[in-house]
Parts: sequence; C-alpha cells; structure tokens
Amino acid sequence: MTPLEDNDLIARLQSAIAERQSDISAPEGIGDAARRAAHRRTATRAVGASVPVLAAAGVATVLAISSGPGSPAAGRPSARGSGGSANPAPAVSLGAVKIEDTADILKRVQARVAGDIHNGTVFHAYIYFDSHVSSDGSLVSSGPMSGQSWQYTAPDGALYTRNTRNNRDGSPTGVIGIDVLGPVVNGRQSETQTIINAANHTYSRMRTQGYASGPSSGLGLQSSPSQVQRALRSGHVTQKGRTTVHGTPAIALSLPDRRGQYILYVDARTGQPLRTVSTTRGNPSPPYVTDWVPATRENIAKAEDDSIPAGYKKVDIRPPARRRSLSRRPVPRQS
Amino acid sequence: MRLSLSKRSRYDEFVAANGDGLVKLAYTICGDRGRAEDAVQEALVRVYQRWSRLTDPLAYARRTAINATRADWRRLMRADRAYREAARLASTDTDGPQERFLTNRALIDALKELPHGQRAVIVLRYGCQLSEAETAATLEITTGTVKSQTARALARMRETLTPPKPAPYELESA
Repeated sequence: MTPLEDNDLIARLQSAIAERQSDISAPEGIGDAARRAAHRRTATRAVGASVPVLAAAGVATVLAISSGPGSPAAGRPSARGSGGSANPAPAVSLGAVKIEDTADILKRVQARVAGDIHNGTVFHAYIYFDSHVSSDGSLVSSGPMSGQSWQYTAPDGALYTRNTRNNRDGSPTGVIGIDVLGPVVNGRQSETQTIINAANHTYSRMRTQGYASGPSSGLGLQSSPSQVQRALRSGHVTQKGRTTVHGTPAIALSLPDRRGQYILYVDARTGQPLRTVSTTRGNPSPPYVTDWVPATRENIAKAEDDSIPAGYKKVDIRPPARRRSLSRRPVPRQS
Repeated sequence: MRLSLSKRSRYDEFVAANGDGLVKLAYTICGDRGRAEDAVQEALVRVYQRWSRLTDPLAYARRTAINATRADWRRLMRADRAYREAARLASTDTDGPQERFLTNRALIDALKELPHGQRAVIVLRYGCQLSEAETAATLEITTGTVKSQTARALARMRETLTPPKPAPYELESA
C-alpha cells in the first residue's frame, strides 16, 4: 500500500472529524443550566452542606424533590424509622406535595454512596437484546443478554474488569476480555489486558505501564457512587415506583439525566443502591443495567478471573508496528 | 455571584455563538455525547463564574472542556478497551485493510487511540481549524509542543492505520 502522506492524512482527518461532528449541537438551555449550576454552587458554599433537606424544600433549590403524579409514594406509610436514618428529616410540604418519604430515602442513599463502598461492592453491568423499563419502574427483559461486565476495585486499588458477549441465541461468542489496572505505585500504574478467544483456542496478554493521572475513582460502567452522588445533587429526583431487585424490596428513583433516563433502584429499607438502569434518548438500544452486588468471594472471582483454559495458544492481536513500541526486545516470530 | 444584565447578555451571546462548537470539540475528543455535554456544561459554569476576569473566554472554555473530558477518557478507555477488543475479535467484518483504511470510522478509531493530549491538539488544529499559535494559547503550551505533539500524533495515526502483516507475532510475557 502507498505510504500515507501527512497532507493526505490531515485532509482525510478533517473530513472524518467534520462528518463525526455534523449532527452534534449543544443541547437547548445548556447555558442557562450552567448559570443555574454556578448559582447553586455559590449558594451551596454560602449555606454549607449541613441542611440538604431544607435546601431540597426549595429554600436554596439545591435539590428539588417531588413525588410525581401517580407516584406510589403518595399515601404510603413513611419509610422513616425502617432503616438507617439516625435523624429523620422533618416533614416538609412543597405546595400540595408531601415530600417526607423521598427526602428520607435520599438521605439514606446519600449516606450510602458517600461511604467507601467501592471495596464492598462488585458491579455487574449487562445489556439485554430486548428490554425496557415499565411505568412502575420494573425492568422488563426478554431473551438473553447481549453482553455483560463484572468489575471490582480491590482494597489495594487494583481495578478488575471482565467482559463477555453473547450471540443472539444466548450462546457466548467465546471471546472474553479481561482488563486489570494495577494499583498506583510511586505514581506509576500497570495494566494487563487479556483476550481469550474460545473460537480458535487462542489468547493474548499484554502488559503496559505508565504514569497514573490520578486515583482510580471511576468505573466506566455508567454507574458508580460518584455518578449517583452527582445526579442526586443536580436536580429533580422523583419516585418512579416500587419493585423488587433480586428479591429485595426496592424503590425506583428517577434521576436527572440530560442523555435520557437514569433510574436508581435502592433498598427500600436501607437506601443501599441495588441497580441503575440508563437509557439514552434517541438511541434504540435496550437499557444499560448495572447491579451493585456484595463483594462476596464468588462475585469478586467473576471480575478477577483471568485464567487461561488449558491448551490455548498465545498470539499477538496487535499490529507488529504497535507491538514493537511496547517492547524494546526483539520478538521472535512464531514458527 | 450574579452578573449584571449586560454581562449576562454577553454570556448568553457567547453560549449561543460557541455552545455547538464546544460540544463538537468535547464530543470528538471523548467520543460520548452525554459526557461531552457534561464537560461543556462544566466549562460554561466556570466561564460564568469567572466571566468578568476572562480575557479570552472561548480559549478558557475550550481548555476547561478538554480537561473535563480527560478523567472520563482514561476511565472509559480502561473499561471499554477489553470490551472493544472482544467486539472486534467477535466481529464478522471482512473488510480488507485498504477498505478499512479509507473509511472515516477507521480514522476516528485511530484518533481515539491517541493519548488525550495529542488528541486535543489534533482536534483543535484540524477539527476547530485553529493555528498552531491559537492551539498553543488554548492549551497553555508552547507552539513547539503543539508542533511536536501534532507530528507524533500523525505518526502514530499512520502507524495505527497501516494494516498489520499477516504473520502472527508473539508478545513478551506479561
């Protein structure tokens, strides 16, 4: 193939970027939203962080909470006293809407996500080929999962992610991707990526090392304590309904999300997040579901397992030129 | 912290004039529309808070939006890399190297493989059509750094876009 000249590459790149950006525009009201957020931050700094419930009631509009029309919360007994809220919020009325229940729930949720739950939680993310969220907040799925990820942050900071995908008939594609991001040691971090391909009984394993940009805080699974905290802080939270998640009575909370719909399911008693379901507006893909499951030995193993089945052959899946940049040693060809 | 009406009006005009461009910039760098919008909103919050003190709000907004995509970018790259590799291996795509090479998707994929700093330079230079000096001012780096980052990025993209030889190679042990 003819080598690619810089000018040619740049011209093609400009064209590709222009095409990629062609249908992108700023969402309506982003400037106003930014202005309101700036005011909120100023107000929050001034008032302090100790009065979230009063703020929620509209005093400083830090967090506006309502029970939506038809919400199952209306007329239900208060959740207060049934769980971990040491100082139950006072009943606050906002017009005709009584918000005591939601405020109590949010206090418990905020206490949960503010804690160090990374080490106590394994995240199981998955997508069904076909699923949706019903009006009462229940996740309705039919058919097999198209793919799933298990992710766990170990106490030493190492982040384990294991991904698998399925065919339409539910059978596994046989390709497993495992990513292990090591803890930060002297500002450096290693990453080991393993791909196992059962279709041809091969695997590749690549280890790279570099400088860490910061502590490993996120999970990249569209669900994390920090993401939930951010969503809880940013606007209207409504109760969508009550359902069960893995047999546990749960409350579905609809969180603000400009991209589409973001539903957080929390334990009705303790406020512990159990599941998030996110959908993107205009995207026909089924919802992206993430379960927050306890970090039992069994669940941790689902994220950490990077064992290679016996008899699998090691191969390089990278182009030689890129591989050479990762290793200075001469690499022998396979016979 | 509230702006006077005239300043607020100028802020509104600034958002109207540059909002789309900022989201396009952030989107091209991070590859996720929602996160791009988050990054731009964060940039606009900071622009609003510092409006009276900013001499070049657009450069500041661009820089802030780019920086806001940085943490997300690293996190997503980690989480998605194995998934993307798995998807690529499982794909039945039979396009030849030449065909793949010529597509915009291949170019964008190669762009995604760049380190965040190089990608920001490339998108500012060839997506926003900024000069080397303007790119340097936006990112608060020297024009020399812009030149070297651009050269490295283009070399890396060329390398990525060059189809691999068919012979399998073995990696050094992890």
